Amino acid sequence: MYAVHLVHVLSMAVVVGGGVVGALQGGSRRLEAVHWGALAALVVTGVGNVGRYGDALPVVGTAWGTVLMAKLVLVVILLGLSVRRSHAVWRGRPAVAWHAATAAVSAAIAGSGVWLAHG
Amino acid sequence: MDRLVVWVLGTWHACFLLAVFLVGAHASGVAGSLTGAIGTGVGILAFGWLWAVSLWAAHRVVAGGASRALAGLYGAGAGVLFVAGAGTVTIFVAALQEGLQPLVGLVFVAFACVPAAIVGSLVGWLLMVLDVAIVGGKGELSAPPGQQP
Repeated sequence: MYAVHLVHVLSMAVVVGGGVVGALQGGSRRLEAVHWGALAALVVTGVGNVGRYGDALPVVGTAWGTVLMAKLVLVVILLGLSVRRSHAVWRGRPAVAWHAATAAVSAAIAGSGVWLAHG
Repeated sequence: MDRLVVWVLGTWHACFLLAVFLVGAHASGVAGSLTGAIGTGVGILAFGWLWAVSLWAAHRVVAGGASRALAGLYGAGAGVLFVAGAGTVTIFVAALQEGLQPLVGLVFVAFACVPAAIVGSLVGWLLMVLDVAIVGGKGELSAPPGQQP
């Protein structure tokens, strides 16, 4: 499980950092390719993190379960924003705003993750 | 054909399907028990296979002009490939560990490919509709001629 946690945290660093870099310097095709690899690692290790709880996973009616649901919904939003961002890059259009948006949403996801782990 | 477009769409489809599954499972209160029943290695392999068939389907759809018909066709193909691949591996692992006859299991997997094709076709069509809605038009699912590597 340590490896799953580590990959999850490192992948989030790539996603957040990549969004910030793209917002400051403009995106690139390589950054998009790496971003999506990190997103895939993030999603699959996220499932692994949830699976660790098994039947003890708090349900939506609890504070913890509600924050987890909010985090999962933000992940779906991040995925959609990332498609929009990558679309701007592959069409050769300005993508700074989309990078900033993905950086902001991924930072919110990271914040909710920290609360789930330590709150 | 732009490889980045295929990489993005295939990965987005696999991630979106898994994320939506997890949202639904958590809303139903079964996320922990469902995901906890799957081993880490099995889960990674299953997602890896889903990712691979999603990339294959995205490649075929984009190469063919990104029509909804193609999305349905290759969605069906992806559904069959996923169920057949995952099911076959599961059957043979169970046969090795439990000493069961794999033939019966393989027949079941073959029958399961029929609903997999139907569901896959619907999912493929819906994902195409979603893709076009996000990027603002079917023609946007490719790089402009001067941008393609």
